[in-house]
Amino acid sequence: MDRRQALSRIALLTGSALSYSTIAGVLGGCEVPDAPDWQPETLTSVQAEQLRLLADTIIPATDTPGAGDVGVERFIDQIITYWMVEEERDHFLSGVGRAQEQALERFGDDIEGLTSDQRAELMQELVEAAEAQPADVVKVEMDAAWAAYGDPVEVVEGTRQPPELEVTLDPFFYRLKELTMVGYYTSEPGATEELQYIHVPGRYDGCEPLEDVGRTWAV
Amino acid sequence: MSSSPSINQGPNTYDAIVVGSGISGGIAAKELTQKGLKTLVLERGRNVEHSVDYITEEHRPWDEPFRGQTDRRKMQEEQYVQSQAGPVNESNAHFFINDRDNPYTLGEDSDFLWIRGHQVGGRSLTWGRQCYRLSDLDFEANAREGVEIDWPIRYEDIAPWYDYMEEYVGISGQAEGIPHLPDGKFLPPMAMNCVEQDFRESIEQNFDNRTMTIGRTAMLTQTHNGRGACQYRNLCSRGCSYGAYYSSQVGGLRDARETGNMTLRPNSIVYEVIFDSDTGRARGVRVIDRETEEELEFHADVIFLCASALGSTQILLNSTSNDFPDGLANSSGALGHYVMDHPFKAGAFAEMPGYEDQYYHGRRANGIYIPRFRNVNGDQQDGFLRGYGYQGGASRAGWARGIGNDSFGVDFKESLREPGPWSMFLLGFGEMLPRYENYVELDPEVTDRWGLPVLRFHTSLSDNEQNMRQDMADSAAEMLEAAGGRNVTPFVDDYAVGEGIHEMGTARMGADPNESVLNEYNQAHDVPNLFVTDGACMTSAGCQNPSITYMALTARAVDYAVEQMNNGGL
Ligand SMILES: Cc1cc2nc3c(=O)[nH]c(=O)nc-3n(C[C@H](O)[C@H](O)[C@H](O)COP(=O)(O)OP(=O)(O)OC[C@H]3O[C@@H](n4cnc5c(N)ncnc54)[C@H](O)[C@@H]3O)c2cc1C
Ligand code: SF4
Repeated sequence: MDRRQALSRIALLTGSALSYSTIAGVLGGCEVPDAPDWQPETLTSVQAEQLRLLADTIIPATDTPGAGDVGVERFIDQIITYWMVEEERDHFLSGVGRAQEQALERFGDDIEGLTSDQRAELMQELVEAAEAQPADVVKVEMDAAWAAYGDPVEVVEGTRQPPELEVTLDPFFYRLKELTMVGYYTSEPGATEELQYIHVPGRYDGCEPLEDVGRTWAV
Repeated sequence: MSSSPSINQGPNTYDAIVVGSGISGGIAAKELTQKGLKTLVLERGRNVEHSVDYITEEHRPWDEPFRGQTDRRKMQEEQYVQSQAGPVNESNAHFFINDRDNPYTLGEDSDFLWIRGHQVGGRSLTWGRQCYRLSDLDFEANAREGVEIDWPIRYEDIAPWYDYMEEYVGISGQAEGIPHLPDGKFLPPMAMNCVEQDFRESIEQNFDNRTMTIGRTAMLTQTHNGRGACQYRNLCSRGCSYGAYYSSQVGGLRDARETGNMTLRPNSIVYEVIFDSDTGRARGVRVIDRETEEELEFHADVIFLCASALGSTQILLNSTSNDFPDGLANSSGALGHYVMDHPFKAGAFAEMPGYEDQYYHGRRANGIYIPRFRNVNGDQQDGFLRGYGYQGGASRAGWARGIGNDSFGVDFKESLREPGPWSMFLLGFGEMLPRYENYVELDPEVTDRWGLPVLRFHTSLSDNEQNMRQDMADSAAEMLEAAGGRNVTPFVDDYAVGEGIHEMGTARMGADPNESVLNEYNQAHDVPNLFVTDGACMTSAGCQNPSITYMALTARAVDYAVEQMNNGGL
């Protein structure tokens, strides 16, 4: 089963007793720093702004905030800094670079300079590119994977070892979309304004008219 | 520390010692202290104070540093085994062990996932809370089929103790009158949603001998024994300040503390039970303090090992003497053998058309249960002995259904405001046969952080389990098809022994001291004042989630032990 299949399988389960942790097991996430003087750790400021705009193209502001309003680019910066291994990070960043080149080629402007219609057109091209490009699965050497963080893993020889780390290098659009959606729907505005979230529901009703419930539960 | 040893005993001397404070240890502590015994509870992990130490309980999705998954690097470095079990995530990882400190080794062609919680409360903090009784279908199975040895007890021996424990723990569920899944003392059941109700009807119409009930769970649907009712948050494994699910914190340990007879000592790694050759009895235990590495000794008249099946087995294997060169209470040679678990990760799921105008309110941390229908009531399988039950449930897809596709923009965003289609999911949990070849031993070379020999696992599945897992997928698919499911997807995913987190069987009960470690009261055949009341005692596995059985057997064993003590019989 590849990762996209896994994701759609898991999407099917949303809401079941098993779902919360299972979903969480497949999707990554990170606390989004909300300091006003936030600086990206891995992205350049320009890349961060480009990603903010691309994310906002996937989930634009409507009567509720869009992905560009809730700090999704900060979340992405954290994921690529603290969660991704080098291969994934390089792969994602080269995707950002190619999107920028495409913007220049197609519209003669940086991503930041595009109108929202042009950004939507660019996004459509990214979709088509993604459809044409199969995801790569690569095995990562554990030591190398975490070398950048300091101590490599040292597990006593002979003991049950960590599983081999396999990472999927998704086409840029799919990875961007996933990060955007996770970042957005687990943000406070995404969870509570666009969808709904109640920390303490207090009761369970198994059959309530959708009309009365309202929107999709964020969790 | 709530009480000191009684005056007429020496320092470090108690009436009783309980090793482990998880599901079985909590009950042992409660029962012993309520019967008036000064009891020392030794727990290798840190203290976890009810509510105070549930540090992630109030986190909203946006508060979680990694939004539910976890720090992947930290998992790979410190919890590379624990994180392979589905339920481990960012918000509960602190209730699972560090794998680097607690390694184990594997024999040839073996794999095992050992999922542990070393802390006061053990895995009672993180368990799934499903509770089902065994029946004589289970207790008679070995004898009926000529598999290994017979259980020394029958359902009628344990039934009153199930009653007693269920009333104490608080189990919500629906009585169904199924002989091989006996009804218990239930609190009102949780509700099924519309699709589940439909599914139940479809199963009953289309299949003889099959039915479906709401999960029987140690979660309170009303206040009970000073604990609050469930608020349907589905945050259970973070700890629950309402005390709405059963944990040692709000159960056994709380009530043991209340008696004034309990001394709880966290950070105490028991590595040996001391055998007194003169009296033929256990004198006490040896402990390494996890923090100071100091070595200590504690004495008592009776000892209850409740360190989890493999934890207790490890202690016994490590307790060697001239009398017991192969491990204490191991004259039979059965100690460490017959490792069992509940093989799972096979089943099916499908989209269920209809009910687009229906949804639910609240996060019910409970699912449905389809009781065993294989090799019972006239059904006979060629491919395998025993059977399995399903857990699962129906739900509507949420926003995550949008991740894998090509859409974006305003319409896409709007479309996710409504929930997606319903789906139904069935996951089998099967019975594994006891086999001598599935065993643990002390590794002759590798030691843990405290210099103690680690366990080496020799565990694999037999054809019986493999065939059964295939049937779990096929039969689930068949039921989903019959109910009108679309895109029915059966699956048989990789599963390693232990992954079911129901490891058991390594100090089994039996009538014959030559073939078993424990007698019908969980008392060591070889050492009368030594009891093992966790999953190690299981002679066969059943397919039901086992913890309520451990609790019932623990209470029963304490009752017996104290009666014997009072009669001078220990
Ligand atoms: C995610 C998850 C879901 C589960 N779902 C279910 C379910 O739905 N239904 C069900 O019935 N069961 C379920 N289980 C299994 C259940 O948790 C165990 O069956 C149960 O906890 C066993 O109880 P125990 O007292 O034997 O062991 P534990 O609860 O593990 O407690 C053992 C205690 O002993 C301590 N200990 C170990 N070694 C030593 C030592 N040498 N010295 C001192 N102390 C020691 C440990 O630190 C621990 O605190 C689940 C488990 C997990 C992790
Ligand atoms: S779902 Fe119920 S038992 Fe679980 S944490 Fe919430 S209130 Fe507690």
